[in-house]
Amino acid sequence: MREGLNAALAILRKDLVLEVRSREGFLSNLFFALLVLILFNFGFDPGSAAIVEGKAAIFWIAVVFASALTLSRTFQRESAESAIHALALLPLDPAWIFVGKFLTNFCVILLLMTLTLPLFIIFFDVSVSWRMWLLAAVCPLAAAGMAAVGTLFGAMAESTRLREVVVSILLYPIIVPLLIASVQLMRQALKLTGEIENWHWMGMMVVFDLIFFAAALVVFDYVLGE
Amino acid sequence: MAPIVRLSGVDKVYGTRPVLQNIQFELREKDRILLFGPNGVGKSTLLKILASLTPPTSGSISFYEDRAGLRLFRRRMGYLGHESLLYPDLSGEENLLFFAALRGLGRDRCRSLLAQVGLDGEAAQRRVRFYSAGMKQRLSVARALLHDPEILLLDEPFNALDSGFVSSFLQWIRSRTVVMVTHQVELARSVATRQFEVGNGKVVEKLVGAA
Repeated sequence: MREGLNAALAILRKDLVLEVRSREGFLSNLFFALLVLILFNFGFDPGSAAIVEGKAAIFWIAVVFASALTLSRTFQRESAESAIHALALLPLDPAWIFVGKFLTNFCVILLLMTLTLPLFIIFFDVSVSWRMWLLAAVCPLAAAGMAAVGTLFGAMAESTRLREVVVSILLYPIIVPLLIASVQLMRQALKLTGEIENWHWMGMMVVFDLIFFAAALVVFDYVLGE
Repeated sequence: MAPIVRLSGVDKVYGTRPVLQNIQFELREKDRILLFGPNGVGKSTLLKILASLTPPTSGSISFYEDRAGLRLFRRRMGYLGHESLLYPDLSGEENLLFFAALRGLGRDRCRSLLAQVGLDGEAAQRRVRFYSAGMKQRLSVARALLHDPEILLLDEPFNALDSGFVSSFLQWIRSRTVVMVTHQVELARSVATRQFEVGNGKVVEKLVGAA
């Protein structure tokens, strides 16, 4: 257990170092999210009913598409010089390799959300209230769900020629429930008055994360072998 | 004593092209095996099957004839692939430190290996992307030897290495159980105890000194 956890943390450290060194990957994703926010900001009248109703969805559109780009690169570094073979030959349960890559994707997606959120607040003139604390739970839960599903699909798509397309095709339909829950809870967070309702969406996000994390742990050995 | 690896009736097919057919093969302790043959006949594929990197299409593979033998085999085995298995944007030292961390080994082991393969000092701090082919191969050798494996599976191990380093490498090989795939057969024969010719989907043992 401890050996596996150390290996997962070593993979996380290595991936974060490489992510910092190849900044263009993360920055291009962040700029993509920024572009989506700008386009929606200029495409609708500020304060219009469409913006008031739809701005929570706009945030998640920006974040999800930018995250998909990150997820499609999950195993790119491992395949450049076939370093994945060195990982596959470790005397460890391959699930720990998944955990390491999952942690990397979780951190990168959460950072992407954290940097996109202030821009979203500025562009859409969001009034910051105490209810925004809800996002401190929603964003990590959404990042964990996307990372769990995306890490597995990133591994599956690595040997294909159209990696980005394959990850997107597989990822988006699966994470629809997670996104609906995220949008519903964000709408609650952006309201200025009234009680916070629909807590069951939070429960659904937790269940989604647990199911897909567990499923990915189980099937990752097979995916790595293929 | 049980063989380290046993292949029984192994076939490997890529798409519709059969590469290996009905292979029977055993690797035993202290074997130093040379696999040779022309390009594209399945030598590297056979090595990857032995390394547990690629599953056979059919047939069986066992490690120490034990269901739990694979993990022991991976603990004892070092693999040098056709590619470097390194990260180009990490330095030589960072690469070794990463693989050492994965196996719970310390910094001292990395430093001593880097010195042994002649990549200490400034070279250790340089990113692998900027290494020459020979330096990259030396670092790959260091990575494969990092956990002091008793079994080595080597794919073209002498590529891009100078004669001085090859001599040291052959010394390392002499004290271990080895399977090597190489076109530099004369070098490999100087340490091999058994040799096999791979071709037409078959693996045929040749007498040492008679091939």
